Amino acid sequence: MTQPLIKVNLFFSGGLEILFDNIKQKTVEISSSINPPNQTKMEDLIKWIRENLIKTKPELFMTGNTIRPGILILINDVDWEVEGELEYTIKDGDNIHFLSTLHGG
Amino acid sequence: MCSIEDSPIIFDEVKIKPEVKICIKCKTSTATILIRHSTYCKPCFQHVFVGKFRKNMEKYKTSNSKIDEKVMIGLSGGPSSRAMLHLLSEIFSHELSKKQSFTEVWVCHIDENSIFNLKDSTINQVEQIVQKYNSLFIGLRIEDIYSDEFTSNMEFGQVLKISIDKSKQQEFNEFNATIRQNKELSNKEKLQSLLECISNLTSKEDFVWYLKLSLLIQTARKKGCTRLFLGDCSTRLATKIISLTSKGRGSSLPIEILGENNYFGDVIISRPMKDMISKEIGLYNHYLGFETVFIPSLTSLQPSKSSIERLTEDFIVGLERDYPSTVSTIARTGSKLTISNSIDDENRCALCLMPYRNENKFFQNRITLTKIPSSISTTNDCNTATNNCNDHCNPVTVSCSQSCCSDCIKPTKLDHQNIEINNTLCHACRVNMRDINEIFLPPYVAEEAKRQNRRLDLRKNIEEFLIDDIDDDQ
Ligand SMILES: [Zn+2]
Ligand SMILES: [Zn+2]
Repeated sequence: MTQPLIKVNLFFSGGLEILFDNIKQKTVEISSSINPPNQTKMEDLIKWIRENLIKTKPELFMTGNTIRPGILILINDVDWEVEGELEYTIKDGDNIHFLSTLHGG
Repeated sequence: MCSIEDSPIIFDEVKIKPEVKICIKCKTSTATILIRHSTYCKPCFQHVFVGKFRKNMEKYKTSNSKIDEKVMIGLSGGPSSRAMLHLLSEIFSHELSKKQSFTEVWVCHIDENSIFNLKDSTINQVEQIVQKYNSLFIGLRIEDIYSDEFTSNMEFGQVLKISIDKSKQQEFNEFNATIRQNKELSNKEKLQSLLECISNLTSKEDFVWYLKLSLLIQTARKKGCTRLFLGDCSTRLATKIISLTSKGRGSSLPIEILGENNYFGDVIISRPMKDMISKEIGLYNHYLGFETVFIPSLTSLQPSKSSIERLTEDFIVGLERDYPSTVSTIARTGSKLTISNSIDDENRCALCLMPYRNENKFFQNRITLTKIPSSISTTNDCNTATNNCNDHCNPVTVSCSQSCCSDCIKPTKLDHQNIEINNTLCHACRVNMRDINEIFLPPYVAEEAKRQNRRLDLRKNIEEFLIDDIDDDQ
């Protein structure tokens, strides 16, 4: 049985876009349950991005199973640190910003 | 130095996830931001952020401000300086209307794209941002440091070449002649050949930063600005505290990190963003919809260990994630540093302009295993061990053509003269020069080296008449 798809708007800035062929915004459709039977969480989304969108140097996007320190994540303009970080359940229509605060991207 | 109010350096508060998501300030709205251990709603976050900035600015005004001050803002276009431009402009527009302290505001941007051989310039992008504010704009390129106007006497128009290795003197003479015939070697090419001969990224980053700093200070002077605002945030300052120490630049640390200092005399350096962490700045810019310019660095897309600075940044932001007081603790500790009394503030490194210790070459030989300069085999009179090899073996020299310096001390028949530069460099800059055989340096370096040498000669001549400080004490 295929899981319904959800639409997510991704934004990359602060130099992070250089890992994505300079693409700053991309709308993607992903499964609402990348890792069944659980619903798709932030952790799954980050991994999905690494596997499907990154063009170069994935280690500059992720360290271990999470985002590289120094990269901010905003979920619908809310700091992901108050949204449960990796545990946040992705919803249809979410706007998710990845913003590097590191020197030189 | 430590007072009781200062919280001790603690690393035992591992991040605790806040349970209740209510803003700690207004205590009514739902929190959307977590800074260190505090949750804020958007309006309260902005209020606190702007408040912190204003508080710093108030401090500067009461301490060092002059009436009718002209100021310059250094704007890379990156997040911190972008936010600073907005925050300062708000203060300035208020003051200009009341005809208080600041009378003229310049914004200076230095385009670094030549380093990466990029065709596009960042100047237009940054200028578009500045146009929204009531400021004067000056856009420079980093290679402009090679042009005559960025020296004190404005006529030191000369490509300078340092020859560490005497065996290459012949080659150097030929090269020097070629350059002067061959006027089309652009400033950009000079900069690129300088960077090409520096093999490691740590030294390269160092060079780029000090060329930029010199360019900013000279530009501020030219425009009559008595204050230069730099956008270093606390995350950046914490990184600098660790990386500068690792690079042997501990003695100039206070100058490079303090919120305000007048080491450069006529141009005061202010860092009003010093208490904001990069996360706060990122969020502030995001909420206000500020566009920033992506400024690549020499370590962009490079691994962690590519340079000391890059490694330090990764280390600090990594720690900060799990221990959210890391940055503020390091930055607060660093801000207590003062310039050592043992530093003679007339001893200024010709390259980075930072103070160096007296007897720097002996200091160097005592503390380091690195031999500087490296070409020990070229001289016969120096076959001893490295630590005995002092500068007399292979002096680093700067050459400048006769015509450029009206006040040359010893006119010679040669069409260039060598200026010894080694004894006018700080420890870290000497380390940077270690594997360089020949190098183009901008004219300001030779100018400064000449000035320093003249001062040192003078001092030597009158030395026996000087009364030592020690005698005074007895
Ligand atoms: Zn609030
Ligand atoms: Zn130096």
